Parts: sequence; structure tokens; C-alpha cells
Amino acid sequence: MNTILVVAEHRRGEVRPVTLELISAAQQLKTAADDRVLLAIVGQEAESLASQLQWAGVDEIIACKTGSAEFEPELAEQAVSALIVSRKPIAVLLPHSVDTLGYATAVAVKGGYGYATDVFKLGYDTGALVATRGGYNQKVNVEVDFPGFACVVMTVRGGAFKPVETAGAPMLTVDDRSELTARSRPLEFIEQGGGGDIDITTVEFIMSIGRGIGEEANVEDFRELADNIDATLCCSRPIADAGWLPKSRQVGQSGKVVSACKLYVAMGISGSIQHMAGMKHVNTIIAVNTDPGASIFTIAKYGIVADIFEIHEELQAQLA
Amino acid sequence: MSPQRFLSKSESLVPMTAQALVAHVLESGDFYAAAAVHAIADAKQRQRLEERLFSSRRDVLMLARWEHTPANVLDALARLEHMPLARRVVKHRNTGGSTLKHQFSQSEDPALTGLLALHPNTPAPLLLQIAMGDHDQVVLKGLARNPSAQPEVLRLLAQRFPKRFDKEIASHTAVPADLLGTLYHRGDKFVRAAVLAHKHVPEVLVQQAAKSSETLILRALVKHPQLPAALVETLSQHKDNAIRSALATRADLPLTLTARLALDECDSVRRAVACRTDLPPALMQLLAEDHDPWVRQWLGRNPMVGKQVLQKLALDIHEDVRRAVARNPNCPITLLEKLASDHRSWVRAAVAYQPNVTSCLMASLARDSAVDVLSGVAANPHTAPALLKRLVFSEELDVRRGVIMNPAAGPEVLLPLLQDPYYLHRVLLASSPKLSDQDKWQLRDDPDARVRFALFQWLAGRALRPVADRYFYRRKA
Amino acid sequence: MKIVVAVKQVAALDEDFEIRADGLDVEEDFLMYDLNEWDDYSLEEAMKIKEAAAEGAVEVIAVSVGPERVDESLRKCLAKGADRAIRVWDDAMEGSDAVTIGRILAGVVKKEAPAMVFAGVQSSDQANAATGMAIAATLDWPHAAVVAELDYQPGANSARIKRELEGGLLQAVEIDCPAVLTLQLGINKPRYASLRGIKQAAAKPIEHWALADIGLDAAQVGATAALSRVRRMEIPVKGRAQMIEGTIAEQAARLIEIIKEYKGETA
Repeated sequence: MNTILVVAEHRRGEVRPVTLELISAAQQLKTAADDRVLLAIVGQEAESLASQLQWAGVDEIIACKTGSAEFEPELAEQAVSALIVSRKPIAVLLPHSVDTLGYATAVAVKGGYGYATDVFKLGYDTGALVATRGGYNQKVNVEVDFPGFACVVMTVRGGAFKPVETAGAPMLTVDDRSELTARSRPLEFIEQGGGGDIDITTVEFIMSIGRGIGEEANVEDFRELADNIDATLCCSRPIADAGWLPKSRQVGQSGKVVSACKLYVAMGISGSIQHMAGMKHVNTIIAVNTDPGASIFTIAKYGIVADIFEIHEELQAQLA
Repeated sequence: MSPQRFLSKSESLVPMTAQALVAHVLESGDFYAAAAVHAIADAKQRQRLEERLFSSRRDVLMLARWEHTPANVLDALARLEHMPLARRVVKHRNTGGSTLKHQFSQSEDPALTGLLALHPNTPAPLLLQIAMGDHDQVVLKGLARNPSAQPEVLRLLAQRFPKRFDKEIASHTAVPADLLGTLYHRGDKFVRAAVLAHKHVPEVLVQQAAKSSETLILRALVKHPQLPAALVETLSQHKDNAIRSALATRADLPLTLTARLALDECDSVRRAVACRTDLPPALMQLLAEDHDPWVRQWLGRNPMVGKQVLQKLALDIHEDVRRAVARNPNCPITLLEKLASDHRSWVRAAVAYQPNVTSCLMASLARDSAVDVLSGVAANPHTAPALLKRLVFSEELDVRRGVIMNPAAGPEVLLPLLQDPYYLHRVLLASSPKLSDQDKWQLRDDPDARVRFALFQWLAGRALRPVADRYFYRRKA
Repeated sequence: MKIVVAVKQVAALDEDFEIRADGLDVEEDFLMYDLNEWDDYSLEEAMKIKEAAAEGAVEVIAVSVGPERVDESLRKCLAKGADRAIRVWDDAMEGSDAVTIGRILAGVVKKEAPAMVFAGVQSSDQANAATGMAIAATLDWPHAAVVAELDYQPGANSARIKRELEGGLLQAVEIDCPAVLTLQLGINKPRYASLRGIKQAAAKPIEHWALADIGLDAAQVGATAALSRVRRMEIPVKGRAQMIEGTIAEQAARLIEIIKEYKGETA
């Protein structure tokens, strides 16, 4: 009988949805009917948060009570490490998130466990656990295994596994760890944005224009379109240099890296190295360009070969 | 810093001839400079440059994908053997037609045809050959999307594969009128709409489409320059917002309809009306009160809007409306002066970038702390040279770049920027016609390869031109 | 006091590269090396602290693990104002994973005894996001990841930071020092090295440390000490964008659909 340990993530009293993806990822690591999936949740309110974890595929919920309501890396690390020692899982699944970036490595290093981060595929090959992650800025897939490790800690990429949808009724165990101490203290949460100019490093939906825009009135046309679809209009350097958009809207090497962006609509941006430096990491890039061989299409998820002004007109018509 | 003093730093004079320039590069062994001067080298020199450029596999691979690699270097690369270069060269946007043709005839890689079909420099006969012989649907679809595809290519595709590529062909700018007719008659509503929106659409199709009740068709039709007045009148009552919006942009819209559309319940219709240059004063007054800020913004930018309305809009609570006024080409100077002290920096920046300002106003804006405003001052030709000389030392690189972009900034202002920490600024100056070649020559040992490349590319360009740099001769004398 | 900034020379790839014959890595000729993007920000943060303090009060040390080519990236750090640069290398370190690199860097930190250690959140090539935290784990120091704002007085026994969480949320945290922090892009505005700085950096020495200098032996580094092993590397089939076909009206309609799908997902 193997044990797979999943660690739930929560913030401000809510279990984060990525937890449900981990539960279904854990099912893929089961090799026998009696394999068990444990779901741990760490924090002061762990016990009451457990009510949000009633999902099928979980055999037991372990509420690790600590002295901090919100995430603290050393408390999380110690609580999870103690569970690994007592429950001896073959695999520990954590979300690849800002919180786990702060403690997953410490769990693996201090315990001497196998370790891989940002994993998007899991499986076995002739009995050996195999994890797949991206390499060279996601240009290659890298398969790794963990010979000689009885336990493997992995952080799993969000969106890689379908979230569990069926409810269940796992048993609940309380693990009191309130004696643990830490050397950092979480304070308040702060919402970004609001007031003053928009900080494009924090916005999630961006429409961007480049040199091909031609004149200032066209910039305004696209600003109006961006407004209509609730996107933030950004630009490449020549547009900001002309004073047509604020410098704070410039994406790229001499501008900003849009680190929080999830959807980026690149209008007529050919994809100079300068500009791509600020946005190539964005998960969903939609590129519109008249040149079907433009380099922007090599990093885009969707491509549209078309004139940006025609697309603009058509979008406005369909949104009117 | 005077140009003379700056020059005294330079130990050597810029090479005068192409041959001397290449000789300098060969001696320095500079890889990027070698790529830049390849085009102007004689056969013997070229061979030595290529020895330098192609000495390692690593360098060769890098050159084949570097965005600045010149066409002639790509051509030389394409002829190297035993290198996985064909795809890189054929993908490269600088690769010339003859190189592409050579690749097509030499390589056995089946993926190349698809890449050639997409390349803007692929020679016309080659595109035609692909259109005639190829069967790969992906390749042919790419070909139909290639902006360089000529009418014969499109015709051939439409003939060989009826309907298959009609959508791509109908969207192509080069499609001739008769082919549009064919596409229209065999097409679905999407193809028909694309045909009607095409600038080559035959008049007879427009007549036919006028009887249609399909929204998509009417949307395309309403943009056509020649429409019967009756149809314009009917469409102004159409329930589709996009149709009325497009109608509101028509130059031939009668005033009565303009007045009606100015009251349209759809925002985008009134926005279109606000852009019209034939608005009577009463309608301008009306639109200036519109609840939609975009209507007021478009009105604020409208060059025909009078002083009074502008004055009203300059007090708008919405910052973008006030900015629109400051960007209006006919915004009076008194109003610009007021907007120059707006509490929002993006409004003040609009004034700083205005071409119709006084150097006095620029001097006061130069005391601003916002980078957008200062960049505008730096880029404004009305800014006094003394002020520009100060802005050259701004902490903000955007402001310094503003000076580089300023059409009135002379060499005495720009010279210190040859030492700018930001490489891009040195790249821009290396190819600026405002500095003499001798001034730029100090960039020859620049730590950044992109700067050296830009310099040598500029100098190579000069060497190709018949008249040598005048400044240089003056120095020599 | 000292601040150690851990930096990495990353490898970038273009399209049309090839996998090595053994299938375990990309062929070396296709890799283009540069300083990790995140490191510009970590170095800048250290420089800001140095420049705000009295002259000579703060020493900034850039440290990297790697072969000779890494000197070029360290030279860049020196040009931007780092006081010293240390490159650690031994052939036995070949094949080290992020955790092992962290162990090596921790060896340097032990020797230099800085008041702060900065590293980038992740590297732009392998993106393990583990090296900085591996330093902290090896040393058992307080640590925080994805720091977007730092308020720290040199020598203070605690610092206030803001962590950048998902969805544009920040969390303020107080942390005991010395600590290891991984810094996020955008925490500051990195400078460009002045031409004078570049010239001076060319003359500055780069210290080369070997295994013995950090008190580790060959068994503690390299592929054998790693917490995972590469079995295979392959190029995923999808490469280019999925093209949205049809006429302009159909393309625009699909674009709106994608935007709506996106909004639905994040609602």
C-alpha cells in the first residue's frame, strides 16, 4: 500500500482551486486499489477549512494546526516535513505557486527527498516515477526520474490536471503543530492597483500595439477597443517614444515585463527581441500580423494573419 | 562639450574608403563589424571576413537567426555545407529573393516549401511554381495569405481548388475584380462580406448586395463609398449597431441623418458622429454634453471643433477628455497653457508633445517631475537648445531618448549621449545623420556588439553612397 | 556588512535547435548564454542598499556557479557596481541540479557571512525556482520567495517585505535577518552599466573558487548529488501558433470567443 500526500493551499479563508487539480493528479500516481491519498492543510484554521476539502479520491484529510492563520514558509515546511516522516508517502504533491516557492525546496533539501518543480505530467515507467517539466524556457520537455529516493516532492503546474469534480467524505485527522515557531511573520494583504496610473506589471489582460499603428488617432482607436473589452492597452517602444501612450505602458527591454499577464493580444507586433523580452512568458498570446512568417507567431498560442485595422474595425462592429 | 574637444579624444580618423573600412574591421577581428561590412568588401576581403564570421558552428547558427543579419551574409551562410541552416535562412526576414530561390533548388527539406510560401521576398515565379505544383493544403493556405502573392497566384489557387482557399483569397489585397466576382457567386456569407469589403469589389456586386437583408453583408456594404442615397436613409434605421456606426462615418451622410445619429442610443454610433468634420455648432454643443467619455474624447480631438467647445471640454472631469483637447491640432495656446498645469501628468504630457507651443511654455514644463512630461519636452522641437543640453543628463533614460528623437537637436546637444549607458541610445546615434562619421567613430570599440554593428552598418552604407561625407573632408583639410 | 547576490548564466534557445545524440540535453552549439533576467533586479536591489548607506559600509558580492564562460556574466555585475565577483567551479560540479547549486552557493555564503542573500525568483531557462531557497535550506536561514518590495536597513535584525501573490495581491511580511530572499522582476528599475563602469570592470579580478574553498567534496556536488535525474529531453510537437482561419469576420468572432473564454475562466 502506497501513500500519496497532497498539500492543499488556502488564502484568506478560502481553499485555492488549484488544490482540486492536485487531488486528481494524485489519482494518477495510484498503482494499487489500496493506495491512499492524504490531503493535508496547514494553518491555524486548518480544521474548519477542512470542510472545503470534501472531495472524492481523498482518503483522509489531515488538518495541521499551526499558530498562523495565513501562510508562513517555515511553519508549512516543518508541518509537511513532520507528516512525511510519520506517514511515509512515496510522493508529495504541492501546487507550483508563490507560497510553495517559499518552502517546497526546503522540505526536499532538509529531508533529502527526490524533487522536481513545475511538473505538468506524471506517470510511471517500469515502476519508476517519471515527472515531465519544461526546460529552456519551455522550448523542450524534460523527463526526470528519481532513482534511489523513497519519497519524491513535486510542485505541479496549475491547469495541467483537470480539477476533481465529485464530492466525497474523507475522514478527518487533526495534527496539532501549534508549538512550531518561525522566523518570519505574515502581516496584512494589500490589493495592488487602484489610484494613479495602471501598473502594467500587475494586470492580467493586455492588448498591445506597435510601430505599425501609424498615427496617434489610430492609437486612440485601439485604446477605445481595449476599453470595450476591459483590456489594458500597452505598446512597444516607438509608440511611447512618440508620446502616444505613457511610458508606463511600454512593454519590453526598455519598458516593463508584464509578469502577471495571462492574456496578451499583440496587434501588429512583429516580435523584436526588445519587445518579446517583456511578454514572451505570457501563457496565452494572440498575435495579429499581416506577415504569416512574423516571429511573434513562434511564441503565440493563437495567430491571426490579418491587417490590424481591419481586425479592429471588425471587432468593434461585433462588439457594438 | 564642443565637437572639437570631443574629437581630440579620437586617436584615429574614420576610414575614408570602403576598402579601408573593411581593412580596419579585418584587423580588429570584430565579429559584428565583420557582419556589417560584408556587403562592401571586395572578393578577397570578403573571403577573409567569412573566415572570421564562419569560424565556428556556434557563430554560424547564431548568425542564421540573428534578427539583424544582413541579406548578403545570409546568402553566404546558405551556401555553407553540412550545417542545419536551410530552415533558419528561409525563415529569416532579411533573406533576399535569389537566396531563397537557391535554397529551393538545393535543399531536399520538405518543410522549406511551406516557409518559402510564407516569405515576403520569395520571387514571383517561385510562388507561382508552388501554386501550380504543390498539393499540401497548409502550404497553399500559407501562400494565399502571403502579402507578396501576385494576382496570378491567387487565380491559380482559386482555379485548382475551388472554394478551398476562397476565404484567404477574398481577404488578399491583390485579388483582381473578376476573381472577386467568381468568389462572390460561389461563396458563403463570410466570403461575400469579405468580397464586398474589398477595395477592388466590382460595382455590380454592390448593386446586388444592396438587396440583401443579411447583417454581415450590410455591414460590409455600408462602408462602400458609392451607395444610393435611399439605402443610406434605410440603413440609418437598421437595428444593427455596427451598421449605424459605420454609416455615421460616411462622408456623404446628409446633415439630417447626422443629427439623428447624434442622438442614437448606441455609444459607438455617437462616437463615430463625434469624429465627423462637418458637424454644425449645435451638434458639437450637444455631443460635448454626452455622458459617454469616448464621445467627448473624440470630439476633443476633432480638428473642426471651435474654441468654446474646446474650452468646455478642457474642464472635463475625465482626464482623457482633457488630454484629447491638449492633442487637438487647433487647440489655442492659451488653453494649452492652462492644460500645462493640469493635475494629471498625462494631460501635461499631451501639451509637452504639442507641435504648436512656445519655447516659453516648454521652459515651464521642463520643471515638471513626471517622466512623460519631461520626455515630451525633450522631444519637442520648440525646446531651447540650452534646456536640451540639460535634459541630456537626465536620470531617466526615456527623457534622454526624447532628446535623441528631437528633430531640432543638433550635434552639440547629442554628442555627450554617445557615452549614454543605455546601449539602444548609442545604437540610435550610430545611425543618426545628425552626427558626423568622425564623431561616431569613437563607438568603434563600444563594449556592446549591437552598437558596433550599427556603427559599421552605417559606415558601410555611407561607403556605398557616391558622395563622401562633407564633414570628413573639412576635417581633413 | 556584505550582501551576496547569487546570479546565473542562463541559456536561451531559438527555433530549429537539435537535441544531443544521447537525448539528455540540447546540443551545446544552439545555446546562447546571458545573465538571467531576474539577476539584474537582485543586483540592483543590493546596489540600492549599498548606495543608500555610507561609502564603503556595504559590500556587494556577485556569486555564480559555472565554467569559464560564466565570467562574462559576472563581469556584467562588476560593471554595474558589484564590489567583488566569485565564480565557483570544479569539473565535478557538472550536472548539478538547482538544489546542488544552492548547496555550493551556501558554501560561499558560510565563508563570506553576509547580512543578506539575494537571488532571482527563478531562472529564465530551467525555471526550477529552487536555487535561492536551497541556499536558505542548506544554511537554515529565514527565507521568503517572490519578494516584490523590500524595506531593509543594513545591519538591521529584521526587514519588511512584500510578497507578490497570484492575482495582483501583495502580502506584507516581517522577516528576521540575515535572510535569503528571492526577488521578483519589477521590484526596481535595473540600471545599465556606464561605459566607465564597463571599462573598470574589465580590470577587476574575478575570484575563482574550487571545491576545497567551500568545504565540500566531489560526492556532494554534480549529477550524483542531484535530487532528480534527466531521463530524456524532447521537443514538444506544438511549436507555432494555432492559426485562426477564415475571413476577417470569422477571425474576429473567434478572437472575441477566446477573450470571453479567458474572462469566464478567471471570473
